[in-house]
Amino acid sequence: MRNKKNKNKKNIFILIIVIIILLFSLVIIIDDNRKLTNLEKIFKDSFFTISNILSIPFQKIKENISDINNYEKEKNAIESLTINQELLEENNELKQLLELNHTLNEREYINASVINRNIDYWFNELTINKGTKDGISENMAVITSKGLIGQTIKVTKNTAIVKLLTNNKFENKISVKISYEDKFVYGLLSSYKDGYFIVDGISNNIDIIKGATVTTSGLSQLFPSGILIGYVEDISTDNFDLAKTLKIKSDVDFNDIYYVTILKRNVDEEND
Amino acid sequence: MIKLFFLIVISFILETNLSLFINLNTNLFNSLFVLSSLIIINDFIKAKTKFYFLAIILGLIYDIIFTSKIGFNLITFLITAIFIKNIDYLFKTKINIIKYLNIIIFYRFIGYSILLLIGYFNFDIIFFLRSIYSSLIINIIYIIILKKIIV
Repeated sequence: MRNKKNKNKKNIFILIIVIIILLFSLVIIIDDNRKLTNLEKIFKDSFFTISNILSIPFQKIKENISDINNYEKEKNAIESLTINQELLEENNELKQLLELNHTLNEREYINASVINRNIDYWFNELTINKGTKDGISENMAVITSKGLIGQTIKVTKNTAIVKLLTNNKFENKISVKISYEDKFVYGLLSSYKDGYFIVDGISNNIDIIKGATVTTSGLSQLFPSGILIGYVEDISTDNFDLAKTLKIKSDVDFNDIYYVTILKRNVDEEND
Repeated sequence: MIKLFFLIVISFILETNLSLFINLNTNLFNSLFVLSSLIIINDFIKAKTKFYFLAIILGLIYDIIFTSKIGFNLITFLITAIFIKNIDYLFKTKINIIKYLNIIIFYRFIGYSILLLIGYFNFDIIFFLRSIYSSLIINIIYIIILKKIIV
C-alpha cells in the first residue's frame, strides 16, 4: 500500500518536473521567427489539401448564404488602386522626391483566400491558401482593400500564416506617416488596444486633426509606402504635455477577413 | 477504436471549416472541437497513461496544423487531460454539462496562464473572460451531439 502511494507520488513529481521543463521551453518555442521543419510543412500541407477537398460542400453552402460580391468588390478596389494613371504619375513624382524605394507599384499582388481564421483564439493569426509555390515568403505585407492587415510569418508549400496587426506580439513596429496641413509627420504604431492602434510620441507642436489619414511610411523594407492603416479618431497628450498620443481606427474588420492580397517583393529587392 | 479515429478527424476538419463560416464578431461561437473530442474520448479510454498519451498526440497535431507553435497545445491538452481524468474528485457533480463547462474554462485558464507566464501578452481580464464565454455554447452543443451519436 505504502509502495503504491510512493510510486504515485513519484509519478506526480516527475509529471510536474516535465511540465515545468516544457513551460520553460515554450518561451523559445513560441517564437514567430522559428522556421518550420520539413516534417511540419508536409504535415500541414497534407492536412489542408485534404481539408480543402472535404470543405467543398461547406464552401457551396457558404457561397449561397454569403455575399460573394464582397470578393469582387475587394479585388476591384485593389485593382483600381493600381490602374489609376494619374495617381501613378503623382506617386512617381513623390517617389523621386522622397527617394523611397519601397512603394506599392514595385510589388506584385497575389490574391489569396483565408482557409483558417480561428487559430487558437490567443494568437490573432490567419492561414491563407497560398505558399512558397506561389512565390510567397516570410515577412511579406498583407492587405485588404480597406488597408494593411499584417505580414506573413510562416510559409509552407501551399499555405502561409499571416500575423495580424492586432496581435499583441507584433514585433515589427510599423513606421507610419500621418497627414496634417498638406504635410506628413512620422511615427510608430506602438500597440493595439480596444479596437484602436496607438501612435505615441508625436510632438505636441504639430496640429493633427481628427480624421487625418495614417498610412505606412515606406521607411522599412517590410511595408511599402502608402498603404492605408486607418484614420485618427482620438488625440490626447501625455502627462507632461510634451507629446501626443493618437488613437487610430482601422476600416478593416479584423474578425471578418475572407480574402487578402499579399504584396510580393521583387527578386532584386529580396536580394538586397 | 475506428469510431474514435473518425471522431478526431472530423473534429479537426470541422475546426478548420467552421471558423470560415462564423463571423468572429459574434463572439459566441469559438470552436474547440478537438478538445471536445478529447472530452468524449475520456469515456472510452479508462487507462490514464493511454489517455494522457493521446492528449499529447492531439495537442502536437493541433500545434502543427493550426498554430505552428509546437508545445503550447501539447502542454495545455496534457494538463487538461489530467484535469478531465480527475474532475470527479475535484467537482462532485453528476450533471455532465457542468463538467464540460469546467473543462472548457480550465483549458482556457491554462492557455491564458501559460501565455501570460511567458510574457506573450499582458494581463487583460476582459480578453480572458471573452475567451471563455465565446467558447461555451458551441462546444457544449458539439459535445452533447457527439455523445448522442457515439455513446
